[in-house]
Amino acid sequence: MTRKSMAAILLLCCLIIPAFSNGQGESNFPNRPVQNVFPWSPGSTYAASQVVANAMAENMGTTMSVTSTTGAGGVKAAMTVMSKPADGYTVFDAYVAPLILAPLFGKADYTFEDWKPLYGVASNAFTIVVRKDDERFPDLTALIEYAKAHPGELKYCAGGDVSLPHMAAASLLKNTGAVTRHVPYNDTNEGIKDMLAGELDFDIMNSGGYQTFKDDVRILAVLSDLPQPAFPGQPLAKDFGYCIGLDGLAATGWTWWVVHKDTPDDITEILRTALKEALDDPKVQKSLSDMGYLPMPTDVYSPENYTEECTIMTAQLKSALAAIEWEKEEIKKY
Amino acid sequence: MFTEILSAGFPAFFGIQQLLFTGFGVLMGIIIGILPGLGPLLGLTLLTPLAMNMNPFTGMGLLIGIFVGGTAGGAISAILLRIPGTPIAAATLLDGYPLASKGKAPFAVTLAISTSAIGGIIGGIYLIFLSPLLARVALKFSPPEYFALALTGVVCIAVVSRESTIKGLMVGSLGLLLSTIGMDPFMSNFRFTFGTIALAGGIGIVPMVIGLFAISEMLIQVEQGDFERSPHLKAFLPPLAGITENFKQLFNLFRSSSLGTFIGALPGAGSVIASFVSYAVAKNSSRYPEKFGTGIPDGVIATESANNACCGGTLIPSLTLALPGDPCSAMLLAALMLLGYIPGPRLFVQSQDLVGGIFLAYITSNIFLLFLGLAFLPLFVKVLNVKKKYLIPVILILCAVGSYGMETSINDLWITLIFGILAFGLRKFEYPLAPFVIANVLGPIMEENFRRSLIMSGDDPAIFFTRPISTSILAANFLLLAITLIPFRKIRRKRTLEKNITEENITS
Repeated sequence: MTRKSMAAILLLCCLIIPAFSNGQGESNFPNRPVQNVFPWSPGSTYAASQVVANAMAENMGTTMSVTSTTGAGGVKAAMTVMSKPADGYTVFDAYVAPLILAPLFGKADYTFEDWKPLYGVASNAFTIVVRKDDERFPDLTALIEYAKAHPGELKYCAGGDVSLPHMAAASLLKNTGAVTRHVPYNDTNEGIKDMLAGELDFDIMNSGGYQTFKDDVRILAVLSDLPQPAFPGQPLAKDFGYCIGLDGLAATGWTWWVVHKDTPDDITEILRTALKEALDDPKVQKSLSDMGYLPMPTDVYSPENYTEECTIMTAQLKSALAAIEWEKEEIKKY
Repeated sequence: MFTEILSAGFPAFFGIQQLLFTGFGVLMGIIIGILPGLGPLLGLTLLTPLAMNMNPFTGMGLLIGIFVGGTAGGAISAILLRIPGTPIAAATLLDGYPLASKGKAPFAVTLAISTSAIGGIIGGIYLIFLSPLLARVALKFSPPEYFALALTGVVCIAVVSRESTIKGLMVGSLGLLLSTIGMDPFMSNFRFTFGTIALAGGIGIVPMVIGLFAISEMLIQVEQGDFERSPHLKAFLPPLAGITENFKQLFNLFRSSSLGTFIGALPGAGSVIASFVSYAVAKNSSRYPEKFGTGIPDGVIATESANNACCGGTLIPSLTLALPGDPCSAMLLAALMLLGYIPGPRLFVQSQDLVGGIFLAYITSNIFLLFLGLAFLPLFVKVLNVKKKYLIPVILILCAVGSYGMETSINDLWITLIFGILAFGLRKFEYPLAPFVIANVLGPIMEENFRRSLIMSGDDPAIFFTRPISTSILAANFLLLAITLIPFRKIRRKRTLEKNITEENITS
């Protein structure tokens, strides 16, 4: 009887343990599922990565799971990938924060050059939004003029401190000379809640956030100078004559899938081909656009252009950092 | 409002996979609840890594199943062995064991399971109707209010800890302190990581809680010895009378469940308090209070319906205000966050399907509890017969798998071991562990909202005291602490006396 129940418990162990383990064994790549290490918690960006991962895996005749490994602003995910064998079975979903920002601030002991690039996958622009019924701000000009007339009074949320949306917002605000107070929220949606409750005046949100709250918020402008299919008919910042101070993708969030630097060339090539094919697929592009993401063209954001693009963005983000420092200095006066 | 949430949750929750895993969760929960020393918290923690690899509905279904099953399971060992499988079942022992000694063990166990399930369903109905209302109010809360609420969570759990308020506060502070390890929430700087990447993401809640509760419990069990003992219980089938008894005591059932829900919704008060209070109320308002303790079904109904209804109650503030009442709901909250959802009123607006799914999972778990709990009774009795020398190694293996499985990291195994040894020491010196877990989950919420409030006000602390809601909550906290900490000697002596008596009742 005791033996029976022991057997039952052991059986349970057997059931649970495989759920956590990965199969082993090598021959022709890929002969087991590939893993995409995603640096954020599951949400709309996670779904976008899953769409691309599914298409890519299909091209390689395997499956690809998107594993959320959060912590340390994405650096934990990066370190996880670095610690795995360089066999191509682990792909890093390298968002700007872990790939460029963290090394820029000395939060990571790698740089973007320590990775082997596949392709740039998707970007999402940020928008500046207010409460739908906020009559003070009919458009972006009204908001900027109000902020200039009442320096230090307006409060806004652009995600965490020194995050990408914060950089885009601070650059715009510095260029216009408007002094406002940034209240950091790790989850931008929590910031939107406080804006809707009247604690904050405006908010910087990405397309995923906008889709969720579009009944309650109104877009003043899209913070990008690239056309944005996710926000049809919405004005860009430059339409009001304002300059964000960041060009192209630098003002937006994006991910460039990369692998461990020591991954063999033939395996990297298989991954690149599969990813390129997935990204060039109109169906994948359509799903990404529907979710509010801008697919990155594979001819521009190709492995060959990786170093150049990343270098340009690093330089631009450095200037955005200066804008945040300016904001912090100015707000102290009020 | 309720119908919207339920209809959003309905298609998402009612799938084969979700139901299967909810049922599996209930079964696992009961088994873990039966095993002395292991409660629903450990079940939740051990299976959180598994739940993280599922879709949120299946994952939450599994975890809620464990929560419900684990809360009910302890009663079986309390009735059959006179050892409450969990402290939650301690009050059930008062009438359950005498019932069993009269030869009515099958009746008592059946009654305990069925009354738990019905109590749980009543708690679930309160949950469904009350939480959307509370969430609507809470949508107006802002950082200062959330800070005040999080503080309430930590203060309350410390105040009600069985050991002592001071010790509870000490352990709570330690939990808050350790929650600051990792990346600074605002400035993206690393804090207290000693330059290691292992601590960069903070201390994971799963490996930590496994260490705190499971490893320390195993150490204590090993210390007690008695590895070869087996009670040699005989399996039995549930008699129908155990179920029908509930319908003879509808008023008791309803009152105990309502009381349980209410106590569960209070921060800091969990199932243990709910079942004891409900037992006392049932006894005092009974026409035959002298019969309580001699083995009457009324006592079992009062405690078991209250403690399962309490699970529903505790989910109300956990989901709407992100304010967990006990370590189990704190763990459920942590799991929700790991799944990428932020508990709070926004959940009721933005993720209605998930909230509806959780409601349905809770109700379904209680229905499963009734059927699976009774159908598998023979199995549960056999689990009670397993000798410690087999049980302890199996549980340690499960702990290691659960802790490693969360992020497949060896560091987490070290964290589990270190916290296991720490908790063993804490328990030896009679420090409560619950405030630690609550404080650790609430720590980041508290810190972020405290700092965010100050950023909003331009570093002016007046923001906490000029807003009506946050001021009242903070004042209530202050009063609560003042009342508990200022020594009213006489009262205290009387209270200790009472406590000793109830404890004697349980342990003797």
